[in-house]
Amino acid sequence: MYTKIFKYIFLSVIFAIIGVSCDLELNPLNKFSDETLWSSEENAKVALTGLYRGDILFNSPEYQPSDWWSYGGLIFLEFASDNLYDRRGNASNFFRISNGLLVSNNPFVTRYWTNTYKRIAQCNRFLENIKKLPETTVTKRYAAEARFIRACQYFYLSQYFQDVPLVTTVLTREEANIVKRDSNNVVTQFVIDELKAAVLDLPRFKNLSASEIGRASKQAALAFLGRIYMAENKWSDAAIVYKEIIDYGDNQLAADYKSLFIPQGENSSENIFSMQYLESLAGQSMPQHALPAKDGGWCIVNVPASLFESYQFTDGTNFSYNNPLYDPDNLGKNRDPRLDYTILYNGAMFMGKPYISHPDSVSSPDRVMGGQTTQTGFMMRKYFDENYKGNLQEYGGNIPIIRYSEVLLSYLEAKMEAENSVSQTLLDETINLVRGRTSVNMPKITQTDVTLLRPVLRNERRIELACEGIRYWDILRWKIASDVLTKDIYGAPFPGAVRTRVKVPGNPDPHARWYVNTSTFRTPRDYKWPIPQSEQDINPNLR
Amino acid sequence: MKEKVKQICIICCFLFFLYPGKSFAQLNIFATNTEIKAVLKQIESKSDYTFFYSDDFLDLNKKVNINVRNKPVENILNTLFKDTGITYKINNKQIALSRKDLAEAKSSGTSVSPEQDKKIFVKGQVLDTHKEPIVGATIIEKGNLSNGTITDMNGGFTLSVPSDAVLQISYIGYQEQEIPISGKTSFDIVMREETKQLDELVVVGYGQQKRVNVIGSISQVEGEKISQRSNANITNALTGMMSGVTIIQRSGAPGNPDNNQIQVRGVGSFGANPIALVLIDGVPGSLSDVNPAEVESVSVLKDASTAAIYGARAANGVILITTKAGKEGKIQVSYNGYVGMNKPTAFPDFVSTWEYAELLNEASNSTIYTNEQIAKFKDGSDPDHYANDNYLKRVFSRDGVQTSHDININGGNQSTKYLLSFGYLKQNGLVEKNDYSRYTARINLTTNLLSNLKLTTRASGIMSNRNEPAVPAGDDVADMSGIIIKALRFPGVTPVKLSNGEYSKGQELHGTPPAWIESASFYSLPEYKTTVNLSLNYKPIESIELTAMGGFTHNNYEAKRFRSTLNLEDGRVLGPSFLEDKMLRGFYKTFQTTANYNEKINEHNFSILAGYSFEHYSDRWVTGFRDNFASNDLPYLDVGAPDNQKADGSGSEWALQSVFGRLNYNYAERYLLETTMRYDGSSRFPNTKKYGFFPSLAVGWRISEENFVRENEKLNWLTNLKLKASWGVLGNQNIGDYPYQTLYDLGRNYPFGTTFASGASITTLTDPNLRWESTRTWDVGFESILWNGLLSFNATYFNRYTYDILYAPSGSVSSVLGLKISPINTGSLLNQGFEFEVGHRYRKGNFSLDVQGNFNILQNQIQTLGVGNVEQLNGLVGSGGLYIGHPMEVYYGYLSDGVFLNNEDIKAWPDQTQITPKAQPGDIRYKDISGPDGVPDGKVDPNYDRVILGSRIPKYTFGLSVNAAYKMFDASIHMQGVTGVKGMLTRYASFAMWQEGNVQRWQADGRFRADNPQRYPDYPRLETIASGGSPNTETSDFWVLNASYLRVRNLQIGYTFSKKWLEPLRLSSLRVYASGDNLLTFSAYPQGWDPEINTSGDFYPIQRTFTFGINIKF
Repeated sequence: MYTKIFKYIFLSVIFAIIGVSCDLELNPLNKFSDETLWSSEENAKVALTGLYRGDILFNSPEYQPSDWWSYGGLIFLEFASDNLYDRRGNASNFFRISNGLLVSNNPFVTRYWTNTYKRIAQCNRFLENIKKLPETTVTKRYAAEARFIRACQYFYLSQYFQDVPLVTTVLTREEANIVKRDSNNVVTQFVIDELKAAVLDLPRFKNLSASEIGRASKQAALAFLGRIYMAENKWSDAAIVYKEIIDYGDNQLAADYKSLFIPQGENSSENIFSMQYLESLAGQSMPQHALPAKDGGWCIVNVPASLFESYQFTDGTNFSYNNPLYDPDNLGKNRDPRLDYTILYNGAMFMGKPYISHPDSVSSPDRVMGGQTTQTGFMMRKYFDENYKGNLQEYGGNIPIIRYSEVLLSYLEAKMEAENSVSQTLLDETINLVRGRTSVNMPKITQTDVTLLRPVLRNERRIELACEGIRYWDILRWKIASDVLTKDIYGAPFPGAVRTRVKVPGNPDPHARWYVNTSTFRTPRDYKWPIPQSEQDINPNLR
Repeated sequence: MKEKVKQICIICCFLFFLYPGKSFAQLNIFATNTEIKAVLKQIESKSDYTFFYSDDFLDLNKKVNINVRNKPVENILNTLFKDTGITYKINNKQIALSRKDLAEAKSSGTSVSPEQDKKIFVKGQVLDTHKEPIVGATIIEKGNLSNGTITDMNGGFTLSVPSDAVLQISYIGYQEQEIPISGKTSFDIVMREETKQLDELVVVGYGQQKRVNVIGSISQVEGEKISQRSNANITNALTGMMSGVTIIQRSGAPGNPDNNQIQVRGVGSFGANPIALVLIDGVPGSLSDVNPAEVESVSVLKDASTAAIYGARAANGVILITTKAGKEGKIQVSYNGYVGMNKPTAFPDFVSTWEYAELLNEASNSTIYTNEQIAKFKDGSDPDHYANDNYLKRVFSRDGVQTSHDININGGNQSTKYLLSFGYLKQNGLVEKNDYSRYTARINLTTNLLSNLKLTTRASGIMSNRNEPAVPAGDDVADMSGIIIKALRFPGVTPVKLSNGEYSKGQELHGTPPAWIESASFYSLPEYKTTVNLSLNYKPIESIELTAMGGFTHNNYEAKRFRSTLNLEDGRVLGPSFLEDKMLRGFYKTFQTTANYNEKINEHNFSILAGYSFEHYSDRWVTGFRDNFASNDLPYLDVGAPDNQKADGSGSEWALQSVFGRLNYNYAERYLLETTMRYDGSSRFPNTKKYGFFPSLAVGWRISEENFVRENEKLNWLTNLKLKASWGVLGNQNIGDYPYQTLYDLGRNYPFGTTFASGASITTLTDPNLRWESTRTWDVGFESILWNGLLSFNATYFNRYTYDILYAPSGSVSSVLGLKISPINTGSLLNQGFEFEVGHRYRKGNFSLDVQGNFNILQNQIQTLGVGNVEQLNGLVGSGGLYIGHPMEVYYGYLSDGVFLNNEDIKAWPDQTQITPKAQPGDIRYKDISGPDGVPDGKVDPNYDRVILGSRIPKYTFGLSVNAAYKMFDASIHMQGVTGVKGMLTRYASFAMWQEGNVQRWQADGRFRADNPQRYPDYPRLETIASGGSPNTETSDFWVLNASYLRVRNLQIGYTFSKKWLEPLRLSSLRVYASGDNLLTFSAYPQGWDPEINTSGDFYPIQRTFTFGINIKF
């Protein structure tokens, strides 16, 4: 009797369980599929936000460049120029780009390449899928933003790698492995066409709401269009688009230069397009990388004497160690105020305490020497809010990508090169506005001779836009690398110092500068970045 | 049916002296209507006489009345056996009983009947293999059960039998023998012990089998051996114990489940994670989930035929853990406890800070430290600024201590058997604030609901907590591993504390690693896991067994990382403090049902198993974050500042559904056949590819059971010989939960102004046609037992071919694609090798010896990468560190030839500028091996001059354990080693001054010196090295190390107290022991480094442990 009861219980339990629990169709709990994502404009905006994000790191140090616009990709690229020096010296994969050690397996070059195509692929997918939604002003704007971002990626590729595969559709694995290089003309023409198209559907800068700060505007697209025209020496085209930006009148120079680079002033209309960071939530780690040791940083971003020396004296004369205005004990004295806003030098007050890089200092962690401290005696000061007390890896300061002052200087350059003449009015509407802002207040430029004006303008551009990721591109397009990147690199002057560093023993620098290194740019080879070795290995078309 | 002859147990008894001084043989016996047998017992209990008899041919059940007082035993026996036909013979204290008629015939020598005319008398002696007499062995005439006798004190016997009779000799614990008389009258008979090995059972999938009938390859270790080893986890105890199972200990951190890598017959895949499936009483789990004291046995299914019953997840072996079950009988309580001390097996030695300062000047070729400064380091006159500290020593500041206490209670009756077990383990690490504690509890019940319906209930709980120090806020490292890395990295030039008691700022102004340990920062990981499973076992008829098992496991943990503030000198404060608190809840459920049918028809034995199983796992987790804590003493979320709160959370699921079956057939336990199949469905594959079929087949032949062996006396040393072969296909699905769906990853968020917007993007290209990764395995071998276990020897060849490997060939898809590649079915891999096991057991008197050795040869070879086959310029085909024809886990780099001695040397050497642009004396010379034309081209470059330098997968592994016991002492030694294996230390562990790093003693002593140039120094010239490395740190044979080692894993000496000491203490057994683990290691690694560790700096020393333990039974 019991046996029977147990038997039935036993069997019914088995069948009950078999009956209910055989679901092998399990889908992720936290991810959109293609179908769910492209069902509404709200969801499409989620994908659009993903495009802005790209592969940019937040709240974590960028040990490798993650994007053209992230601090570790934009600002650190100046390590390859004469504006900044990477504390890691010859071991730095940025420095190797321009000092004769550029090889096809440079990991940072590979990283730029990889992440750029990642973002391009995301844009291509976005543009193919946005068509699934009914066309509205909103979807048209979204598409224009995607085209803008994609065009910018090709802008950078065309400037550094030059001839690259132009991929505008979603590829399969097989297709990706057989793409061919397109000539630089094709790529730049694509950038031009796409930016022109994007301008039409993008909103004007002044129409961006508070929750749209950092999104692409007509002005941002035009500025990149201007850049590519300049790179192509299409000066009059460049002048036209820059003029268009100026004529919109949405953007003004800020009175306070310094505030443009710290959270307090970063939303000035001068900053046309910025890489957005948000403290704690989407922070950047540049303070960790770049602050002096005394403030807990890793001292990566050093400044060579070359940049220091390019700032004029306040009277508008070029810097010279022999000028009585030069004060070796206060290097910022009598100098273009932008020096003080950009460069940290021995004795300068910073974050409440003096920064001491003097080699004879006994206890300063920042004294210039081998190891994890400045190699030049100078550090970068731009971008840091001196009152910031938060986590050094989660700082919220934005990084400007396009500033109105660049637009003005570029407009001047384009007009000058296109027309081979300039008027004082033009100078006053451009370079002198930049030099004349309240916080800078440098004497006006009055040189209208193009040949003489050109170096003045280029130097103005160098210091106004120092450490903003533009210098290396300028060097390449001006073709001056064989001049400026084949020199000894010096650091700060320390007259009378006991500890010195000289290039040749017994042959001290006449200005008592700390010898750092020597740059050996190879012309013409290093004007063009090699396509990563790993890519060449996979796809012979890229060799 | 064979006749069974019983022997009455000889029990230790105490003589009761009624009249001291008188003959003790005078007894009082009173019995009314009592069986003779019972009377005999009475006599035994009152005297020290012992009876020997066979009650198969004596009628001892006859009831008698007897009433004697103070009579010698002879009188009593005479009275007792009157009219019973039983006679007796007293020899000393032993009394042998026999039938009167036989005994008389024997003594008179006259025939009592005509039929007995042909009878002859035979006599002889029965001995064991050590020539000791066997007392009480039964000798009977085959076919005439009433004719028999038992051996006397000297093993002697006499018997009257027909001249053509066959003698059957038997004794418990020994093999029965049959000896034909063949005219002989005197016999010396040697009895061989019944070999336990022959009856040994091993745990197989969904059941047990007699070892001799198992065709596949199974390694089994009994729980006793595991608990004897006083190890905190099972894995350590298993190292080197089983052939074909390689266990590499990569770290000694307490309670870290990733310490050990277990490889069953090589590394099975370069795609899906090649880990073995671990089943604890049929429920998947991890080895760290079990208290070693609860383990009855661990069995590793290594080949297809044994593992195929677990089909889809079995490709890399299946580890079956069976926990102890209750035993019928009186309640038994046992206690095992130990306490042990740990010290690192190896610990890096550093130069002093003044030597460091001098070396740094030498390396940088400039005066970074002046002579005055160096003098200050040396004389210690300004310790606040010029210290001579050793951070690593201060981080690993103490000896580890571990202690464990286990109580087992077991017992039961026919209807219910129970086992209760409680365990406690505490391990203190070598680092302050680093410890691990574990509480385990288990109840296993077996209940016979009906005579044919059995319920098995297993419930177990484990509660563990791992504590580690953490790094205060602000530094780029967070956890204990970071503390260790930085302690290894930085020279101790600043003190931990200044003379005024403040923490110094350290090299990075974040303080020093030893100071971090003293901060309020911590990481803790309490984990709770409960497993309950119920199994009903129903036998409607004897040959059919139906089983249904349902179970669930509920696990949750809370990972808490608090990074406090820390005050440093000059008012500097590390911060802001923050807390991350993650909680996970996981739920696993399973239902399994099997039907088993056993039938025996003549010599044909069948066993058929069919089953169904369903498994489902899901988990959910949430994380909370706040910063700026009001106090370091209150690390709870609500204490953090409210303005920067973050939360995160997600979850995942998987499910498996399978049907499976097995057929075992053998003919007379001689010809063996087994076939298994499993049909598995997994949620991880797309609809059309969800199911995979995994069959296996195995055949075996026990040659030793053949008549031509059994009947051949010359071959009687051959106790067991089995040939075996098996084939099967197994699967692997360890590739994440949702590998085939095209999905947008959330979390690609971007801030627009102050609006942090949600973003998503596709980052991975998936393959919608994904299917199972499969491993086709075959193996052949033999198993043998010789001379009854005096020697056993097994050998197996195996061949595991893994194909459709679920590999993401990221190195062979252009990044122009813009997406990561998810695993696709591509590539194949071969693991093949030999396993040898040899065993020796010897017992003589009080001495026993047990030796087990194993030796394994393994070849791991990549066959193809499929889409990953990229032809390199030097002819190698492959990518991503995987090359066809070579093993996995290789080092790929240059061959070196010492270092450059001087500038002439550099000029004369092939152009090395592509690797070392500006070579100096003391830089490593790399060899020019080849060039575009296949011959050395005068240039050393990455494309042509790099080769495979060896693999981390050991080619040869071996283990040897010797257990010996003499009287009350026992001792064991266990040695283990590997060879044919490479290892490498990198970064902070290997290179001096790596990222402002320290200098180890061996680097300083062995460095190249310009003033005394050596061609082959231990270390090249000193240089300061940035994170990208230098030309000298390129992977080359200069750095790749021979990672072979031989290690005394365990040495143990035990003493068991004799019973007479224990009686007053009411203990039934007591053993104490002392044990040492990792006592001695022979290896070629540099000073300070254990050969099992391949680290870049994140390491935790493997430890030498000294343990004292006690085993008590009440």
